Amino acid sequence: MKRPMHEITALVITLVLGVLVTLGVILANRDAGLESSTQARDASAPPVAPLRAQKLGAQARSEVTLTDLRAARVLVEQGRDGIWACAECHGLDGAGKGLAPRLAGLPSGYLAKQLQDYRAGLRLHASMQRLAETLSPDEVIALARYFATLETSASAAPRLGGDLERGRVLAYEGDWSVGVPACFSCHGSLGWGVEDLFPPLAGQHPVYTLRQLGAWIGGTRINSPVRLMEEVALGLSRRDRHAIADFLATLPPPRAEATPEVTDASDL
Amino acid sequence: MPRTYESRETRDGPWRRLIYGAVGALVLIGLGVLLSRYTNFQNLLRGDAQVERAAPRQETAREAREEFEKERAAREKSVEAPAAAMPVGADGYFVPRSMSSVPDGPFGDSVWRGLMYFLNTGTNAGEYVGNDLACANCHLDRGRLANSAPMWAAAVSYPTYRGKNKRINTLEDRIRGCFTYSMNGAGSPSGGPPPRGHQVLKDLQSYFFFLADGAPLNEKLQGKSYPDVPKPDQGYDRERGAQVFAANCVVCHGEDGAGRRDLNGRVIFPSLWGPGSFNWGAGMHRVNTAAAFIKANMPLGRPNALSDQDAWDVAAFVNSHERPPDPRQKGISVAETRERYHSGSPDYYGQRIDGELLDGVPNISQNRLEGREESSRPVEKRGAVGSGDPPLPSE
Repeated sequence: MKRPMHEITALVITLVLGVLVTLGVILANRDAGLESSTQARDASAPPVAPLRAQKLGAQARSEVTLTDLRAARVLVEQGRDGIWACAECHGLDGAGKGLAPRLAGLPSGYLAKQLQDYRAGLRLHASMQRLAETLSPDEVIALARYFATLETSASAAPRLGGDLERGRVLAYEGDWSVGVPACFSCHGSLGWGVEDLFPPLAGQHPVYTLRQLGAWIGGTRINSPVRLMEEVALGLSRRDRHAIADFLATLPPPRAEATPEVTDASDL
Repeated sequence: MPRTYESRETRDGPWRRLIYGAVGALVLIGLGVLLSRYTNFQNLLRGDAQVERAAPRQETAREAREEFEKERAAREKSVEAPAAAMPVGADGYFVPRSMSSVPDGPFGDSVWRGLMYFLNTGTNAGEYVGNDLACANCHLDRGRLANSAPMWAAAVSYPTYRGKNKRINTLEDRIRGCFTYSMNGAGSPSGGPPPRGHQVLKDLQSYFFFLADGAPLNEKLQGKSYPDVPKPDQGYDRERGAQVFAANCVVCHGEDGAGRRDLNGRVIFPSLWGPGSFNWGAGMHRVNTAAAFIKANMPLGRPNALSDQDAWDVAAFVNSHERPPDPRQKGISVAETRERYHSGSPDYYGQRIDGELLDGVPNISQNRLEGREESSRPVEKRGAVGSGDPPLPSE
């Protein structure tokens, strides 16, 4: 039986319209604002200067003055015109909560690099990118140093139902059957980090850790030097990511960076 | 016979259905495009695709070992039972015993001690260690990893004749050789490797014997040593290697090759050259050996990431720096040492690089003796990021 003409026409028109709409959506979003793209800027081009965090840390520890720290504290607690306070998500004490990571005690070089990377689109996050764009380079260093010196007790706890024993094994031994080295083989004993380059993982909120592991897989974070974390994350199954995130949350966080002038923020 | 189709057709016309269809298609396509661009949805899809890998591989390995144990038990009872086949994992390599199966009793204790020496050699056998290294730095995954010179492959290969010292070597001899060269025994507090029969050597042998359980003696097991990387057409070049190093290695090993420590002062990334590294007698100082290790194992977690050329070049770069002296150099000239022990393989020992003769930096004990502050095993540096704690008294 011959197909009615109008059915063929309908089919053709629908297909053509569908293709046009899809093309339109894709073209409209290509290179548009970062909020609508799902891939961080050019994953194939490796970020240059693998030691950038180290240089920023050295700069922060030598150049940031008490005055700078006081100004940073104002930003943290009050924000400024049109920009919210860091504390709204990260807490006055930098303890973080849920998806907002603990910043207290993280190395200043690492924190400064993350702010730079948000600005450069190497980490995708609408709020953080917006915020990073408003900060001057000096403010970036000062904020990083401020949070690095905050001595804040642990507030993270396992929340994901992850297998803590599996997490412990991944932290201390890794799983070489899927090419994953022990987390602590780079992130230091107890997960307290190594210098400015390998951040502490201990005592970090599990939802945040989980989100980052997903971000390396999904390409919304591409700022790991030598693509180390991308490869590690790709080896971890969903169950493993939950396990490690929860295990790390059970660990005590490292002590803060010390400054000669202040022992805690109340001195500011 | 009147059909509903026809009567509706005459009533509404085909164009109505066409419009419904088109709108429906647009809606579905739009939804699909939006969903596919939603990162969490992508992650969800990817995550589930990954859940399959580790668990089944561990399962295969566990089953292989169980099967082997069963066959061996049967064989122990009767000569009629078939010979037990070597346990092999999903990747085709031998499956070493899991630490969860270490037996109770003196042998099990010895195995555990062996593992502790293997992981933290400087801490637990520090009497005989003259640098910053641990066995596990070059024998990854606690000496279990195929293509990372695993101990289960080494354990079934001794005693054997070795050209290095021109004699029959037992496994104990071989381990002492590692202490002498790779761990720079000459720079240790004792001045050399553990003496023959020392408990440290027994415990390490127990650990290797345990790992190798089920592997046939004298078989050149797949995954042994580091897979050979043939010298590339362009040879090796330390200046090209410097670029490779800067791009791939400095994050962990430092621009000065001295590695990095964590807040506790513990070595996390080992020294590749300088007083804290292996000495000029260690196998790793040869460019071909280092290239093979690097190609299969570095950067950490990214095996085979470097091309053969890059692996050779960066190996040349690393191995063209100074390191503690070759202990065989005692009493003879550098040229003589080079002639006897360093010819016949790509080797920078005794060469002049950037005006400097590579014949060994003073080792650690020498530094301490002469009061030089550059000890690569600082015992007084606690709170390396400036905690304000007073330094502990140095040794």
